[in-house]
Amino acid sequence: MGTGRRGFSLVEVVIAVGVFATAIVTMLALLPALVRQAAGTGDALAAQGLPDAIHLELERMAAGGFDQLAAAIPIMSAPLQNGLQLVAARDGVRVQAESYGPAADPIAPAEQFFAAEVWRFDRAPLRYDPAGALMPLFVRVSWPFRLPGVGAPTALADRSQFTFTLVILR
Amino acid sequence: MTPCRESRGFTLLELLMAAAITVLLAALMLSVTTAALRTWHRAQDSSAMARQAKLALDLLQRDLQSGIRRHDGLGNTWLAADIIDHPAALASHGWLGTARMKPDAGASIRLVPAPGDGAPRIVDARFGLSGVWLRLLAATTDTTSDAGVPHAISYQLARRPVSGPVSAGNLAAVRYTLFRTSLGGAETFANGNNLTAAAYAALANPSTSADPLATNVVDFGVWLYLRDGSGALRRIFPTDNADLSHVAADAETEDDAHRYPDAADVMVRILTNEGVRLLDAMERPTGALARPATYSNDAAWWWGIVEANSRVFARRVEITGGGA
Repeated sequence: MGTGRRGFSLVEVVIAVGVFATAIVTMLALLPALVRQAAGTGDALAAQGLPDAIHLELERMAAGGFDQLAAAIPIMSAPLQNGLQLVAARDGVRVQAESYGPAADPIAPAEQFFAAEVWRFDRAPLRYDPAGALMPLFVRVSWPFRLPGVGAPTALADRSQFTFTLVILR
Repeated sequence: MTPCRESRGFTLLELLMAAAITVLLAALMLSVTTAALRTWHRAQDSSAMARQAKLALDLLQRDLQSGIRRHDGLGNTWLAADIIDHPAALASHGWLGTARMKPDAGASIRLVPAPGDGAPRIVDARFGLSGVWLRLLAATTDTTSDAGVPHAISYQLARRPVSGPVSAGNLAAVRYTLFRTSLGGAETFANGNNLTAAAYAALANPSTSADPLATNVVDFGVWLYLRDGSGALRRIFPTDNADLSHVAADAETEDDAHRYPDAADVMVRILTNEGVRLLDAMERPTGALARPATYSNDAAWWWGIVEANSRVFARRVEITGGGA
């Protein structure tokens, strides 16, 4: 028992400090995740509110020619890429085609926070039929598309995203 | 290390060292814990606001999407939006007024903000003292018993105690709340299809117990659009900062001011917890705070607090319902 009353050994002290440091580091590491999550809630909400606005913009694009729009929208392939692109502002309200059909009030590049890509389906029953009255489309919304002060769009792998299906009528 | 030396106790130096290290560790822990707590509260606050906004916007979207109109040739109002910018007119809407509250008489009017870079954005807009009072007839799925039957629905803001009577004597906390009043199918059927008729007076004053949709909503606004031949959206309400009312009647030949919209932008401005606290202190009638010198008037002060401590949520909604 003589050794027990002598105080702590170096190993004990190191372990104690190690445990303490681990606790502190864990707490500190949680902070950025919390902040990110808090900031992301509003953006995710805005993104989930976009389908109506996207539908309205696609109908505007179709007003200039339904078959021309169909021709401009690629057929989906695996992996999904090169869809017809739309962009939306962070407020979750304004959506416009990135290059198809000129928009009256273009969204400045720095404001293009959301991207929406659109594809046609590759097989029946959702494949586009030029004789039909409707065009089913597959849409992927992803964000952040462009961040203020950064020239190039964010890589797709670094964006949050969700997908949905919509139909526009001739 | 003789036994006698061990039982001697600690020296003053050892004690001081131990105390210093303990204080250091405690300070470190305290600062880490405080920072974590503050972040946690902010995160909770932010997700609570987003949840409230989602609830309100989802309901608005559902109601607008199932909006009803008919060309029955009777001049009925199927949808109406009004901005009431004077406190006296809001007494019948169950507002509890006070000297310092949301600014009125034009001081909160910015219906169509000046475009900064590109088109004007609804998230920058201010909708007057009352916000927009929106009424529409919609085939909602509110209840299972009369789902799909037309209901008269009203959305509006009111500043009033969160419970009990709307009176200055009520000690309950006073809050800005977004209300959604939905009359039942039977009542709507009996009242008819004209939302601006006297029969619908009940839509003006929401129930404190049954109708609150989201609390701490200090502004609620709507922009209404028509779709023209090229598919582009044209805003028909508000057309400018003086356009305080839109009454959508049923005739096909009406001008823009009376047309039923094809799409709408809706927005809610929700206060953070800090904003609620600051506004509460500012609006309290007794022992009122002195206005900081940085603000030239109370209106600038009110909006200064609100803009710094609130968040705007918006959504564009397609009004697909309606019909012939």
